[in-house]
Amino acid sequence: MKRKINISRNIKILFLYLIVIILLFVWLLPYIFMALSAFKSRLQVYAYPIVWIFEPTFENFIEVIFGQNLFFYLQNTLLIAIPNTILTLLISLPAAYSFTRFKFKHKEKYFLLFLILQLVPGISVIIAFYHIAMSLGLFDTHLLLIILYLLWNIPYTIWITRGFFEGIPIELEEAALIDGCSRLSALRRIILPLAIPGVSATALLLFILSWNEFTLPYFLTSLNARPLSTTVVFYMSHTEIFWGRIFALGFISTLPTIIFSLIIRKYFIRTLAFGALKR
Amino acid sequence: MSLKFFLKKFSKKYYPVLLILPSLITVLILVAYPLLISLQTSLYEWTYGTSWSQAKYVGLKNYYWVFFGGDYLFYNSLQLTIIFVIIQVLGSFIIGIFFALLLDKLPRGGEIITAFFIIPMVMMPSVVGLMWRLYFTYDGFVNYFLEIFFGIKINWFSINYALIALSIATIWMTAPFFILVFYAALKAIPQEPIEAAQIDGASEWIILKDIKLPMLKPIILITLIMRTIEAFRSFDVPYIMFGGGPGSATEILAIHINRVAFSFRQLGAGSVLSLFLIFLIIIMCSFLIKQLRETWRF
Repeated sequence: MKRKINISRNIKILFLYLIVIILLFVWLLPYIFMALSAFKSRLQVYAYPIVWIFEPTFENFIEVIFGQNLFFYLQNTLLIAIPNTILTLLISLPAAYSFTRFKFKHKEKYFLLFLILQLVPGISVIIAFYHIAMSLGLFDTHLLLIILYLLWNIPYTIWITRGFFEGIPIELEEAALIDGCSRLSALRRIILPLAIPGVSATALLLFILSWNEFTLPYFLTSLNARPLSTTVVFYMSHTEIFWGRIFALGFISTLPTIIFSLIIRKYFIRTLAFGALKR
Repeated sequence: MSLKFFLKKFSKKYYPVLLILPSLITVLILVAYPLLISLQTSLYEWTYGTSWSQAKYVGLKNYYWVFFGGDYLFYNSLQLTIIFVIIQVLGSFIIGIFFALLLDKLPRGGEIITAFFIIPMVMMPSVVGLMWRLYFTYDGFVNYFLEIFFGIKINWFSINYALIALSIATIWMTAPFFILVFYAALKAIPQEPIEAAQIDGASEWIILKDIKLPMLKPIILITLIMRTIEAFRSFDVPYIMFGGGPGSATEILAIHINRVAFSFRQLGAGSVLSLFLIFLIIIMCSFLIKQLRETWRF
């Protein structure tokens, strides 16, 4: 009797997995189709009904990478994203630590303030940023975007790393303090090694954010500091002609963030979600 | 009391706040300064492309132009924004909670499958916009499947359908946030009441309605408000997919700001609209703060 129940239950679970996998495939089909189409030849891309089986070609990638000077824009993206990530971590990690370990007046109000401040819409401050950039002579420079991204990235980092720091037991630190460590060396010897996975995941997350940002660089850069995310605009008025290249560019520019997000998936699920759950 | 002692006591008392200060000052400056600048530019007639020294002080003229009929698209775009936000947030919420409940049922492997479900969320928004723009063309990806399953083809680039097309694309990109949060929340709720109900023979629907959803209520409210604010802010995908068109069928507020400030080149009036959008977000923030204070209890 018991075995019978087990079998029917197993079939039910198998069926459930089947449904989930099919739904996942349908859900990701737009992305899969883009990735497939990037390898199509000029004629196959426009074929209707859609061609699903074909011989892959790299011509779109070659055109995008060498015809559009992709490396220059990639370099700009990195020159903005990497310094911004480092700067953000340097400024916001002490704050996140403070929120986790200390009790002080109006603590949760400060925390809430960060959350509220980062809700400012990019498009709403763009005119002011344009004005400031022009008057300081920072228009179309990497430095400008490195600084401006801090507005969103600092609160975001505090918000998610607080959850992560709270997962590190306070007893470890207390033990080190009792054994004669100073607060700073306790931080360096006990907390930092334990925090490294979380901090590197946060760094990857910040990198994804800077990599994807469109609104600010679109209005505040022109030729010198233009990052990869704004290059799709080159194709906007030619959408009838360059489908293959658009798909190839899309495939290239989304691949790193997708790989990163899969690497940090556990962290994603734990902290990103729990930030809003409880305090 | 010696100075040294005083400093030591001072730093001990304010140490936690001192650690927060660099972040707080940076963010406050980056928010407050542009707001003040916007207040200033909203009082000037300033053409995009000319230098600030050529701007002319006009008082409240820009405000008058935006709110009292000069900007004939303003109320239209406000209405469109509200429709767009409601469709987008409700659509992604329903899809998100459906997938999360399904993934929660899996005995194992839910985490890795969730990680694949959220791929649209980490994709570059400008690419998502351009991709869907191609998919919604007449002989494109979406119509291909519509023809197979329903035998119809829709002209998505028409006034009636553009907003729906835009909503579909943005729902695809924003639903993963709900999937992620609700999946984690469902994993975190205590299992005893659910098991007890199962032993008592309660149906799946009753467990969902009377146990799971009430437990998730705070997080549902918080994420709904946060996503609503995000939807009001969104510029990249709407801009790249339709750029406000055809005509002004998808000209939501964020796009309208861009059109007034950079296409009509009226930076002053654009500043008025920018401040108006911030005003709307502040109103919604008050709901968010209320809900967060109830949930966190402080």
